[in-house]
Formats: sequence, structure tokens, C-alpha cells
Amino acid sequence: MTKRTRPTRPVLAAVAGVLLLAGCGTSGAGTEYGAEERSITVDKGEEFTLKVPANPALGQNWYLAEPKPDADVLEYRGKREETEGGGDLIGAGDGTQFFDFTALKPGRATIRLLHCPMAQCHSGTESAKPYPKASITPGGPSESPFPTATGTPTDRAAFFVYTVTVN
Amino acid sequence: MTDSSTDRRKRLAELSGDIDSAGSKNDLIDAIDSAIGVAAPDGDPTTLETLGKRYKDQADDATRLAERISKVAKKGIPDVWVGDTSVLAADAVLAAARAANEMSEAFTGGGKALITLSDALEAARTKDGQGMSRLREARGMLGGKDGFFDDLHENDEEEELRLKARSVASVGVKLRHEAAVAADDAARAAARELNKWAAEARTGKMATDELTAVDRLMLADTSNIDGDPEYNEILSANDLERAGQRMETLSAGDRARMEKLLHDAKTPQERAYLMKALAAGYSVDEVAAFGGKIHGKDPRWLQEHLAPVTTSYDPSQKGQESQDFNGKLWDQDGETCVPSSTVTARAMVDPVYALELTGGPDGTDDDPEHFRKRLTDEQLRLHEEGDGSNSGWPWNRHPSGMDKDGQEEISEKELSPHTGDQYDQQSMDGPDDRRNVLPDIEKSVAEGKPVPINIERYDKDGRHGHSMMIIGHEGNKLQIYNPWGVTTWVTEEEFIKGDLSAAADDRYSAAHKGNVDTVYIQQD
Repeated sequence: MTKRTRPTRPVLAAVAGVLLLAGCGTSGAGTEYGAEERSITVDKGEEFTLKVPANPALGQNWYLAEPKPDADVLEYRGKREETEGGGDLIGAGDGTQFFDFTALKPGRATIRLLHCPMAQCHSGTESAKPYPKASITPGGPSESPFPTATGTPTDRAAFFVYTVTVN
Repeated sequence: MTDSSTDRRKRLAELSGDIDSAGSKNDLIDAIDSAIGVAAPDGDPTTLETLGKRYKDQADDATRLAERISKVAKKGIPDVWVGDTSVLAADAVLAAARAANEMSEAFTGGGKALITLSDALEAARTKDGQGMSRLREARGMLGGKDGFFDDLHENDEEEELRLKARSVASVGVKLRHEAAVAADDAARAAARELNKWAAEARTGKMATDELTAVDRLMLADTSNIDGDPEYNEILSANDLERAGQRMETLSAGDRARMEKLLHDAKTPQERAYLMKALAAGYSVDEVAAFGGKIHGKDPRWLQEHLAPVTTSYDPSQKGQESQDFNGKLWDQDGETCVPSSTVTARAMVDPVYALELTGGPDGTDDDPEHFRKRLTDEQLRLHEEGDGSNSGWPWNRHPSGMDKDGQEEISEKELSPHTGDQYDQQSMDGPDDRRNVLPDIEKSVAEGKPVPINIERYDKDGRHGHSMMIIGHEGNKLQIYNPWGVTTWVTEEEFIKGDLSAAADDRYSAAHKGNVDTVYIQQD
């Protein structure tokens, strides 16, 4: 039998994954922090980025949730995204999302990101209740709100809470 | 070869363009002659109407029968056990009442579909005749074709005549096209309705005299305990047919063992799952081993372990319904949507396989983390089986999609042995293709055979593809399983448009060039 040959995809995704696992890195926009490092210390005036895995093939998205970080301490500069196409392959692709901030003055601020894997939620402002389980009667009690994550991102929606200290 | 109603509708649309753009008398004559040559809508409205009325009469008989059985059921029936497999007589009477109701609904629905088709066809034929008259009138205005030299020059008078004839022909061909579209849509809608009602007339599917009529009735009637029974039946029409065929071909010894297994089952659900295992192609030895693992389990345990999908949402409900086992989603691990949707689809048609995933080798390991690991392992096994692509560093290799050939291969290897069908990959080149394939899809899912589909979208980084399964059909809704661990009801119109963002996310909407590009349809 002839074995089909397949395109070898760039290793960018793996590199990104390794950087995330390793914690932080640097980019032109300042220091980058992965999803697992949620206690961050920066200097006044410093730009930094929260960099999170957001693979569209897995319906993965992240949102800046309410309440927003203290605007006196941190300036939110916006969200960016990098993705890879999958070509003719079905289900291939990778992606990363970036939340950019600038530290304005000494103090502490909390950043809440809502991780929405498998399209389980669609904004950072929704009431944060996932759709009911099949075994729950429609119209009856629904599941509890999304939890706060203590580990790395999973296939369940959760808030990732970052504490930022500005020196 | 006779043109299909879809071919005629497509041809008349093309000829409408040809007529509107005909720049010479001869071109116009050619286009009009071609338009006149397209056949009128097929079918005899009178015969269809007569058949439809006969169905409605049968429905009335079935309704009266259902009412009589319901009266018997309400009177109270002593605890008598009946049938080879010992079912309670009271349960059998209730099942008979439901079956008579279903029969009545099927006859009513089928009759209505035929009468609707008859009316639509009659209207289409009338309109087609009006269009044909206009085309003939236009053709008569033009007379014979010009010779070579005449065709080189057209004076004002000739031009005026051509434009006038073209205007008449344009109205005519458009009427014929509208009639072809109406007839095609009506035929398609009737086919879908009739397929559905045929599949829902489930009791007769199990054609075996190795079980009593009561046993067959009860097996067809048994649903899982959660969700609307109509959407959570244990044995699909295909299961009933295959189980009946298997019973017919078993040796006397095996048949006796199978009957004893059914007789000893503690609940109708346990009995139905034993038959589902037989329908999935397992030997009686294997069914007995499976039976040992599920024997005496209550209906909820059976549903949780053996049914990956429970449908609680009514088809009218919007939104995605999560599907999990003990809190762990039936979802994909990594970029494995093709193998993951195939694993879940197989678990839907093969309860022995489903139990290996949920309960492990002995059926008793309920630990959700262990389930997740077994599910991931199986997704990766199919990823390899379909020669899926991988990416990353050597120490961090992970799946990154699969091509369509691999998808067909794993569908053939994992699903075909348990449904009895082969898979044929069909590329969808637009709404017409999707409209055309819809009756085949709906026939398949009504019989209980999942239909793999692929969606795609485009952005600045190129193409992104995703795989899902169509697993149900009700009215004008299709139920989609997404390996993100959810099921969703979408409309046929959304499917025809190619926008299944409701079953995935906004990134697959029309705004992102969302599209349904491939359907894997079963061929007997």
C-alpha cells in the first residue's frame, strides 16, 4: 500500500507551547507571561503581555472579564491574536492570543481573563453560566458559574485571575 | 438518461441567461429551442392525491385502534408476563398503544406529504405550461433561422422583432424555471418527509419470527430514561433491522442462548442494549460477555455508560447541549476532530465499544479521569489508523489534523462494520449540492447511521477545517454532534447555506466564509 505523504507543519506551535510552559518570555511589546504564571511583578512604565493558548480548531477563545483591572494602576492596550491555517487538513491549526498592558503607577491590580474552550462562552461579560448538562431538565437549575482556575487551561471554561504588583 | 428535477432546474436557469443575453436572432432561436426541449415536471398529481387520501384513511383506522388500546391500558392489567423474553403485559399494551399512535402519525404525515406534493406539482405543471406557451409564441415570432449572410447584419426592424421575441421568451423561460424550482423543492420535501415516516415506523423493521410480536414491539419501543423518549430510543431503525437479520441467521444453540439472555434481562433497557450489541455485529459469545457486565444495572447507569449522547433539548431549542460522562466531556483532545467525532459516532452505534470507553475492560471503572484517558487513547489510535498529520518537536509531537482520505478510511474501519454501510465522500460545491444530498442524509440519520461532515472557513491565515457528525433529524432540523463535546439542533436552511456556526462558533459563520464542504454519505 502506498503511504500518503503529508505536509510537515511549521514548528511554530510547538515553540509557542514550549515558551508558554517555560513561563515568561520577551517580545517587542515587553515581557510575556503564560497562562500558568498568575502572580506578576512589573515596574512602573513597563509594558507587558498575557499570552494564552487559543487554538481555533478547539473553539478556544479568551476574554478580558469584569471587573476590569484598576485603570489607575494598569492601562489595557488591547487584545491581539496569531493563528495558523490548516490547509487541506481537517482540524489542524493553532493560535495564541495576547492581552497587552502598561503599568502606570505603583500598586496592585487584578486581571481576570475568561478562558472559553470548545466555544463554551463568547464574551467576558456574559453571566458566566455554561449551558446545562444533558441530564439537567431544561428550565431547571443550571450548573454553577465558571470556576476560577487553579491549574493550566483545560476543556472547561474558567476564570484565570492574575495579580499584578507594580513597583 | 432522464434528467432529474434538479438537472432541469439548473438547465432552465442557464437557458434563462442565454435567452436574456442572446445578441442575434439565431442565438435566440437556439436558446428558445433548447428551453422548449427541457422536459416538464414529472409526476401525476391525481395518482399522488389518491394515494395521499388512502394514507389518511389508514391513519384514521390507526387512530381508532390506538384509542381502543389506550382504553384497555387504562382499565388495569394484571401482572402477567408475556412473550419469549417475559415482558409485563401492561407494558406491552402501553407499547402497542404508542406503536398504533406512531402508525397513525406516520400515515397522517405520509398522506399529508403526498397531498402537498400533488398540489405543488399541479401548480408547477400549470405554470410550466404557461411558460411553454410564451416560449412557443416567441419562437413563432422569429420564424426560420437566418442564413450565414443574413446573420451578419440586423436592421432596425429585425432588431425590434428580436428584442420583442426575447422579452416574451424571457418571461416564458423564467416561468418554466420557477415551475422547475417549485417541483424540485416539493419532491425533495416529500422525499424527506416520507423517509422520516418510513424510519419511524420502527416496529416492522425487525423482520424475524424468532421473537414474538410482543417482544419485537417492546424492543422497538424502549428508550433511555432521560430526555424525550422520541429522541433517545435505544435501537435505531437500522439496529432493529440488523438485529432481526442476525436472529434469523443464528444457529439453534446461539439463538437459544440469545433468547435466554433477553429473558433474564432485568429491564427493557438492558434487553434493548443486548439486541443493540447483536445488531452491531458481535457474536453471541461477545454479547453474553457484554451482558455479564451490564446485567442488573438500572436504566440510568445503562444510559450514562452506553449512550454518549442524551438529547434533552427539543429540536425547537437553540444553543449547544453538553455531552459528558461523569463530568468529563465527550470531546476531542488536541487537533483530532476527525478521529474524535468518529470515536463518539462508533460509541453511539456500538454499546460494547461505548462501555469499554466509559467503564474500562471490565465495565466497572467509572473514574472520570480514567474515562478521559481511554477516550484520548482511542482518539489517538484512530488518528494513527487514518494516517493523521503530526507537528511539533520530536519530544513534543502532537496530532494536527487529518486529510479526507484518512477520514473516509477510519469511517470505513470503525463505523461500517457496525452499521453495515460503506462511506462515499461527496464534495459540496454550493447550496444546490447540499440541497441535493439532504434527503440521503436524513434517510441515514433516521435509520440511526451518523453522517460525518466537514465544515471550513477562511481568514488571513488561509483555510481552517473542522469535522462534525449529523446524528439526528426532526422536522426541518438536523442534530449535529461537534467533538467539542456538544450537540446542537440546526435548521436545514442553515445546512443548505453552509453556515453551521450555531453548532460550532461564530468563526464558522457566513461572515468568515463558513461552509459545509464535504459529506460522507452511506452507501448500502
